[in-house]
Amino acid sequence: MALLEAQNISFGYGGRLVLDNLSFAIDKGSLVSLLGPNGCGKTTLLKTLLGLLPADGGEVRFEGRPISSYDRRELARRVAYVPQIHKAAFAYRALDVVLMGRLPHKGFWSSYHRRDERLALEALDKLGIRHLSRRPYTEISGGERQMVLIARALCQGAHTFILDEPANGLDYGNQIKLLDQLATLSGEGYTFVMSTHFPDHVLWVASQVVMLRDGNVVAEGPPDAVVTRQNLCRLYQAEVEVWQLLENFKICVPQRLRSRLCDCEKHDTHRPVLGAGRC
Amino acid sequence: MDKAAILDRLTVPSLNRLWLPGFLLVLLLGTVTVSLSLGKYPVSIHEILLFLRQQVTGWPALEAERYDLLRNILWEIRAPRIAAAVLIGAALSTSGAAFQSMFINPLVSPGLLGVLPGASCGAALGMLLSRGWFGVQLCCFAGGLLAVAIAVGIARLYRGDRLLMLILGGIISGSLFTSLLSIVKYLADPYDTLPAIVYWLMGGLSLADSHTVLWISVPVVLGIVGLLVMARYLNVLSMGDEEAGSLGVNVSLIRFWLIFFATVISAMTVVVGGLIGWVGLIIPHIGRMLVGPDNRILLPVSALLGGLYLVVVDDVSRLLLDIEIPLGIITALIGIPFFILVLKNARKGWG
Repeated sequence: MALLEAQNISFGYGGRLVLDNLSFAIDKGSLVSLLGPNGCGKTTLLKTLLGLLPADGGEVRFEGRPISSYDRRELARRVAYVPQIHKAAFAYRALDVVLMGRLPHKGFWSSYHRRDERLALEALDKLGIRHLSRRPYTEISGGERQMVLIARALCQGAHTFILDEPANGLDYGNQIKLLDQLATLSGEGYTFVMSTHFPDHVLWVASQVVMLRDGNVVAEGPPDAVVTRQNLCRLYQAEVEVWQLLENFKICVPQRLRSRLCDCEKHDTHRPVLGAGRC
Repeated sequence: MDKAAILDRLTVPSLNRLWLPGFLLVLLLGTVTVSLSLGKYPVSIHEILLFLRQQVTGWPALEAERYDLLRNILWEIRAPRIAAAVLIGAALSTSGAAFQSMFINPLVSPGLLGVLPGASCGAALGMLLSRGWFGVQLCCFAGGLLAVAIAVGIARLYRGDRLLMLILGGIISGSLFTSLLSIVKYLADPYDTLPAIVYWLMGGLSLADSHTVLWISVPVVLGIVGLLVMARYLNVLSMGDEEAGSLGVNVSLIRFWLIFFATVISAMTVVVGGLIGWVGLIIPHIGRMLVGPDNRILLPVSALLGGLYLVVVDDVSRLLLDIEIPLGIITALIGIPFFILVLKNARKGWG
């Protein structure tokens, strides 16, 4: 049984349909990437998966149950949200931010105990960022803030994480660090659904891709089969070849930029891995 | 349960600055005692302590005549006023801190949703209709509640960013009640009612009598406690609605209660003391400088600091000159330069 399923979901803001009868399923332990152009409905889809926006049509099922049938605290103990990078207004200590993850485990009247604090520290330890625990959240870097939010998701006790463009706004080194961390956690059985603007990220770490365009799923499946020249062209209207480097490592090569730098025909020692023909 | 587990349940080590609220409480009690001794008729602190002992234990420590005199001065005149200052300062500061977290903006004040213009307008209307002192207070409270209800109602008309809609609703509702207040002032008798309205709007505690202070103290204390209880939810709300929702918080329900408690206690402050501005804006800033932004500790510290601040300012207002300076004028004169100073910090994100 799939862990998280979107069954024919539709959603509209006012008269505009953002998600149009869209379906896919996600297995436990997979690292799923949502790929699609700006405004294709990625963020809306993520919020629908989280139950923050109830779908107008169709339903989202988590562990076989409709997401609307979960109590919100019960759901928060299973599914965590890592929002897009944003500037915080208040200088909470990183530890206090992680501690917020314990809220769905607490009754209205009970407060955080030493055990909650220990769990928060363990989550920071797991990501190797315990040294940040006393630092103000407003003063750490974007990459560190993203890691703190992932620590909060761990502290929440959730095993399914929904991340909205987690690599956005991170420098190159931090992007690699983040993806490596997500791949490691995914190997431990955590499930990730993240949106991204970088097909390379999908090729590097994802186990499943969902390609979205105009609120529809254009293609879905393992990256090897889905991240192809044709599909990237359909998504982005850009000619991109997917090259195989080494045994099992692929990268995207935008043709337009490549042709500026060299005479493609003459220097072409690699063969494009997937797809052929013109866009 | 082993010892470690018991310790786990008992201690909250992230509140390692618990000594500060204790210190502030002692400071507040000291300031209150000193303030009781200050005034046109001098009373020594020693006598105040004897008087308090007699009040509490019933064991006579003072001569009967002296006791009656002190009872009149301390209990009937000074104590209600000082208690009102503590309550109003605490209420404005706590609701200000709560609003700043809720609206994710360290520069907002408890009047953001129009409670202060609404309550002022209500009070002025009550004076115009001359329904007696209690009628004025009732109109004042109702006006504050109505203004916030209108702001929330406007915000609910349209879909969109909830916080932004609420702020816009507050601006509209506040402006509406400011205009209505102008109408009331325009209609008021310029020799009698108008000066009373104007004086009320300047803010002051000279009208705080023991009866009023006693009956407002119950809702004010309950409202402050209500906000304190929701401090953890305030922390989460200050990260944004979606994050709060994903942490299992019923955002609209929690926000409703936060706005309700903050509005009730802010309106109560106008009922007793008129318009006293700037306290709810600057005291939470000072609190944040002392203990950081965690509302679990910030709210109680703000409440204590606010009470302390307003008692001292009220002492200045009644003792500095021969005539009493309206409290609202002093809080504004102190608040504005302070605000200019904190703007620098607010830009850095500390708030």
